[in-house]
Amino acid sequence: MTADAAPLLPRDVAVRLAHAAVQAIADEAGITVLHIKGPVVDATLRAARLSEPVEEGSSVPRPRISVDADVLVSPEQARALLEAMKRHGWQLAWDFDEGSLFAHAATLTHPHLAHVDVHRWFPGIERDPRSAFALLASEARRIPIAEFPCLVPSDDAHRLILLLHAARSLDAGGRADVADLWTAASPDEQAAVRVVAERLDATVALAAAIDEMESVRHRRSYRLWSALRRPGHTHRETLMGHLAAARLREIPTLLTRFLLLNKRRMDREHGSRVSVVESLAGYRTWVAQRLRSRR
Amino acid sequence: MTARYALPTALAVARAGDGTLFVMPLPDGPPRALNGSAEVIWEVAVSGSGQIVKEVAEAFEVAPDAIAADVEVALRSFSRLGLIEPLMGEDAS
Repeated sequence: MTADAAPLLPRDVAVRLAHAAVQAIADEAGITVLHIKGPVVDATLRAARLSEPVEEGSSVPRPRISVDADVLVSPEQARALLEAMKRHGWQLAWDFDEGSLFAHAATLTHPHLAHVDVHRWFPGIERDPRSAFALLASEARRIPIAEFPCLVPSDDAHRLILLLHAARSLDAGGRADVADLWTAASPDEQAAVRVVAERLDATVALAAAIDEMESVRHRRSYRLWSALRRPGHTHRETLMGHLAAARLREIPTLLTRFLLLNKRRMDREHGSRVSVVESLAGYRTWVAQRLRSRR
Repeated sequence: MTARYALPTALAVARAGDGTLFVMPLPDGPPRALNGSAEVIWEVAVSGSGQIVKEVAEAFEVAPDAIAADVEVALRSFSRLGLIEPLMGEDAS
């Protein structure tokens, strides 16, 4: 008879307990978080299918496999959430500007639980992050995850968020999500997603997910999402897409972020920190290759 | 009649694919696996039963006297770890 401390948890358990832990920390700190992806999908959008009796000869629907827990927080509360999590034993592995050019998510790790991606906005939503989060939170509800009440977006908004994510990961499970969440959805469900996409100004990324890019060719972010949806897109294509989508005043920040990300990538490839001279030499090589490729 | 307990509001509970039950006081944990008879005692305790020893004995088809002491030890341990919560007005000593 034991109640053993469990340093190594099964992955799905570690993810569900991480969601619950973040919600408890957020509640204590008075911060609003929305739980997305992973077990939330099984508990909401896929709940009916997972509980249906399986007909003979058909395959048993499997729970979604997640390696991390994803939460969304308003940008003005994002730093406070990271600090609150650190006070409860979490460590910051990647800060917001260290993961991708979108600078949208920070990653925190825990000795026992799955790591958590804290999103301060979600790529594909072009409405300002603060009011977009307020809109999502206004329609949110609590559902039990690991039997603890966690706040989740409306099903329509969540379906949209998953499609926006699928748009930039079509070759890594995104296509299956589009089939599951869009192609198999009813006309009413699809219409509801389009309404949320309009309200959140997410029509370009939605178009990228559902293969309607021609309808958004006139939009500034068209090139970015055309690149992101293409399997095997390069860092250069991504950068060019970001630059095309950016406003003039955003370009210096974007270029600085790209250079820092590139330096970190080189650090990882070298297995140690790259000197400034080596780093600049790397950029010179990159620029030279880029120039040659345009000839 | 034994003391009565409830599920703490700040407790996460998750069952793994192989059936193992994990519980974690929130927000700090640590997570714990409830194995063997611990799971049965915990389940009976958080059901709010006033006859925990009797119900656990029935589950294992043994005489209550044979397991009473072990059950009380387990309940004290669960309470100390924050896995069960004494109901108001109950003597959980």
